[in-house]
Amino acid sequence: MEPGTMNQPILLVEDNPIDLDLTLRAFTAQKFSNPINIARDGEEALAFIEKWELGEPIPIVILLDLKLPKVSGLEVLKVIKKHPVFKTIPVVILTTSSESVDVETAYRLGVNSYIVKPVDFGKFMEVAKQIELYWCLLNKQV
Amino acid sequence: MKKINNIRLKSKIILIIVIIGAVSSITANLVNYFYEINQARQRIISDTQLHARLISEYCSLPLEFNYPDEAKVVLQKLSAIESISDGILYTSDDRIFAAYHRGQDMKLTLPMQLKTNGFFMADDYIHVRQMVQSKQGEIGYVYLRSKIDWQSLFLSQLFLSVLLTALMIFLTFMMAYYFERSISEPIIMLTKQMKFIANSDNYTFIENYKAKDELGELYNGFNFMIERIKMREKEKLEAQDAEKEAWAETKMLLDKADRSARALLSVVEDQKRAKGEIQKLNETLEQRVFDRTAQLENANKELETFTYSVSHDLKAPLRGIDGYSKLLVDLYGDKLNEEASQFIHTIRSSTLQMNQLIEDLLQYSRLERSHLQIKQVHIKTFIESILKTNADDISAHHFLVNIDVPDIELIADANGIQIALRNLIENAIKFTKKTANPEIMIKLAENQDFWILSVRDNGIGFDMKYSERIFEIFQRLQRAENFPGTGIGLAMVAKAMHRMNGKVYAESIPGKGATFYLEIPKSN
Repeated sequence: MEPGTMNQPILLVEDNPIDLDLTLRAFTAQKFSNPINIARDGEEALAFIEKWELGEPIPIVILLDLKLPKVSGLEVLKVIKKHPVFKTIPVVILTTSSESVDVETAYRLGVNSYIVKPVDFGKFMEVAKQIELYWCLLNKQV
Repeated sequence: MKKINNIRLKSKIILIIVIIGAVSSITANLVNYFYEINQARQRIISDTQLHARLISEYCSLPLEFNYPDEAKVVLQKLSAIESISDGILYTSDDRIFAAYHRGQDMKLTLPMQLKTNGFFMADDYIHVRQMVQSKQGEIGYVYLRSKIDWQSLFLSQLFLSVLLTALMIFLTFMMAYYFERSISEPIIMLTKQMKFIANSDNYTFIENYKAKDELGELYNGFNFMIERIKMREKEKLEAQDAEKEAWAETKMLLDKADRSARALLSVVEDQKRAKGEIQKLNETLEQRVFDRTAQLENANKELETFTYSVSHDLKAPLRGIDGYSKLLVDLYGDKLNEEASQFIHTIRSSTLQMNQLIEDLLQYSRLERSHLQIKQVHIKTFIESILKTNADDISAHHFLVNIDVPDIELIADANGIQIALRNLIENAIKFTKKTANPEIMIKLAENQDFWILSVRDNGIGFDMKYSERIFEIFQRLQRAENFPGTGIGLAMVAKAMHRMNGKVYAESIPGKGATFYLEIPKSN
C-alpha cells in the first residue's frame, strides 16, 4: 500500500445492475469510507490497469464477479495476478457460482478470497461488513 | 520245329501221328527184314548141313568098300539142288574120292580152315564139312559148297517190307485223319467262336461240349470266361454309366465351384473394398473418436455452462427480490401495516425456498456429473461433523443422539456417503424435532458383503406404502409449511448409494418413527 493514500478506492467489477445497486447499498449501509470504482465488464476492469499505470490510485481490494460480458472474471484475475506490480492487490471473488471448478481455478490463479453471494440480503450485508473489516480496515492499519 | 508250329492244327495232328506211325512201322519192318534175312541164311546153312549129312550117310558104304562110282552117283544127285555148286567126298587122308561140280569142271581145294564138322562163309558161298563114319570110326568127309543168292534174297524181302510199311503208314494216316477230329474240331470251333467274338464283340456261349476231358474243361473255362467277360462288360457299362454320371456330377460341381469361386472372388473383392473402407474408417476413427470426445466434452461443457447459468442467473433476480424486500422493510417498515409486512415476509421466505431448491438441484446434478472418489472414510468423523453442523437444532429440541459406530475406516465413495448421511440425519432432525423426547440412533452393522449404516428416529414416520416413492425426486409426503423441503434430499441419497453399488431402504411405523438403512458394499 502506498503511504498517504488513506482513502484508497475499492474496485467493484459487476455487470448486473441489481447486484451492483444492492452491493453499493450494502456498503453504504455499512458506512464504507472508501470510494468505490465500478467496472461493468471485464474490459472495463482491465482498462483500470492502464489508469493505475498512469498514476490513478490503486484499489485497496478488487471485488470481482466471475460471470462478466466480454472478458470473464477469471481472465481479469489472471491478468492482474500476472502483473509485475499490481499482482499484490488483494482480489476477492464475489460471485453466485459455488462450482468447485470455479473455486479451484480462482485459487490456482492466485485469488485472495472466494465469497459466494448469499441470496439473503441480510447475510449479504454481513459479508460486506466482513469485507470492509478484513480487507479495508485491517490492511489499512498495516 | 518252327515250321511245324506254323502248320494248321488239323494237319499238325495228322502229321505227328503219321510220322510216329511211319517211324514205328519202318523200324519194325527193318528189324523184321534183317530177321528174315538171317532166318533165310540159317535155313540155307541148315539145309546145306542136312544135305552134307545125307550125302555122308549115303556115301559111307561106297567109301568103306571103295566104290567110287557109286559115290559119284550119290553126289550126282546134288544137281537137283540148285544152290549147291560143288560136292566132294574126301578120304580121311584128304584124297578126293568122288566129286560133283555144277557147270564147269573145276578143281576145288578143300579149304583148310575146317578140321572137323562145321561151316564157314566166304564170298557168296557157304562151305560145309561133314565127316563120314563107319563102324570103325571116321573114314572120310564130305565137303559141300553152296552158293547163296543174296541179291534175290535181299530184294524179295525188301519188297515185302516196303509194301508192308507203306500199308501201315496209309492205315495210320486214315485212322489219324478220322480220329483227329475229336481233338481238333472242338478247338477249331472254339477258335472260330473266339474269332467271331473278337470281330463282333458279341459274347455268346458255345453249345456244350459233352465230354468231360480237358477240352470239356476248356469249353467250360471258355464259357466261364465269356460269362466273366459279359459280367465285366456289364460292369464296365455300369462303370461307364457311373463314370458318366460322376462326370456329369463333377461337371456340375465344377460349375458350382466356378460359380462359388466367382462369388468368392466377388466376396473377396467386397472384402477388399470393405477392408479398404475399414482401413479408411480406422484412419478416420481416431479423428472421429477425437471429434466425438470433443462433442461430448462440448456437451458436458454446455451442461456445466447451463448449471453455471442456472446457479448464477436464477440467483441474481432472487437476490434482487430478497434484497429490495429487505430494503423495503428496513427503510419503509414504519410506513407498512401488519398485512403488508406479512406479504413481504412471505416474499422473502419464498425467495429463500427457491434458492434452496436451486442449490439442491445443483447439488443433485453435480452428483450426477462428478466421479466416484473411492477412498478411506472415517464414518464416525463424518457423523460428528454433520451433527456439529446441526448442533443448534439438536440442542434446541433436546435431541437424544445415540451413536453406535465403531472407530473404523470404510473404503467407499466418500462424497456419496457424506451426502447420504447428511440428508438422512438432517431429515431425522427435521421430522423428529416436533416430537416429545426426540431421539436419533445411528448404528453401523455388517454382514458378509455389506456395511449397513442405519439412522433411526422416533419422529412422525411414514406409511410403508410410500417406502419406495420417497426416494424419487420431487416426491414429498408432507406439506411444505409443516416440513419445508425440496423433495430432492432422499433422491440424492438413493443416487449416491446407487453410484457406489449400494442401496438405501427404509422401515417405518407412522407416528412412531422411521429407520433408514444404507447398504455400503465392502468390495469396490
